[in-house]
Amino acid sequence: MDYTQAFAISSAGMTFERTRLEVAAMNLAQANTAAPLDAVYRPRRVVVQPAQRHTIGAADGFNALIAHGLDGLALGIEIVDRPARRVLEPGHPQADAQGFIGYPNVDVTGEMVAIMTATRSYEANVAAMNAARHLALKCLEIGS
Amino acid sequence: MSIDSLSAIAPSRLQSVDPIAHQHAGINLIWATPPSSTTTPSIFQQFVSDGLQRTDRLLLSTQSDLQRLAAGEVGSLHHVMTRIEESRIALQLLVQVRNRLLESYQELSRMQV
Repeated sequence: MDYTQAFAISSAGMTFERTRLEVAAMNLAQANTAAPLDAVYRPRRVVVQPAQRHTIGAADGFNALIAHGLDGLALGIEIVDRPARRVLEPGHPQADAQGFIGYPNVDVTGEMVAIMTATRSYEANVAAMNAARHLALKCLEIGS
Repeated sequence: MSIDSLSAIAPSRLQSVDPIAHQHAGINLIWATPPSSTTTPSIFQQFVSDGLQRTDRLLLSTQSDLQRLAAGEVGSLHHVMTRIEESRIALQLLVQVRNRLLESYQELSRMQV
């Protein structure tokens, strides 16, 4: 049914935004965890595999595009390849021979921005879903 | 069902009033065999009961979703909310269909014979 499809689209968007929020929260939570240089937490990032665009032609129509896009929305979390920050803390119990210790290279400002955009996008998805629901309920008032 | 009884009444009147109906074999055949509602349900009845069962299944799955949410077993809240809204719309559709049916039934029962 059509309104079910609209719900599924918005629901997929909400899942994506919530995963982004969770990953940003995890990065922020690990931002100040010191560790030996080879065992430092590496920041994560959400990646989404886009729908296989080459298999969808223009002739397949909008519905096929949406169904395919919903099927192909595969969320993944990958590690950002950013080297750890080397900090000189000779008194730290986990410091190496030169007195250096590693901190995760988390971009705190970027994570805050990611949280804000994820929140706003989630709200936008909720608004779109409410609009679809409103349309469906309005449709039931036809003739009454 | 009122529609069945109406179509059961209709053939004799139609045949006596309208002489053309006798000549059209196809129409005569349709009107001459009223649907036997006691043995096999009519298509309309089946349609309504199918819709009822589907709505009932949706409501039951929503209920189990809510129970799992209360037990803390649900990962994503918005899936539950989406299912709730879907079943709410299905229930509203059912209620509206019932309102229309009742309206038409009352309209028929008020009809002067």
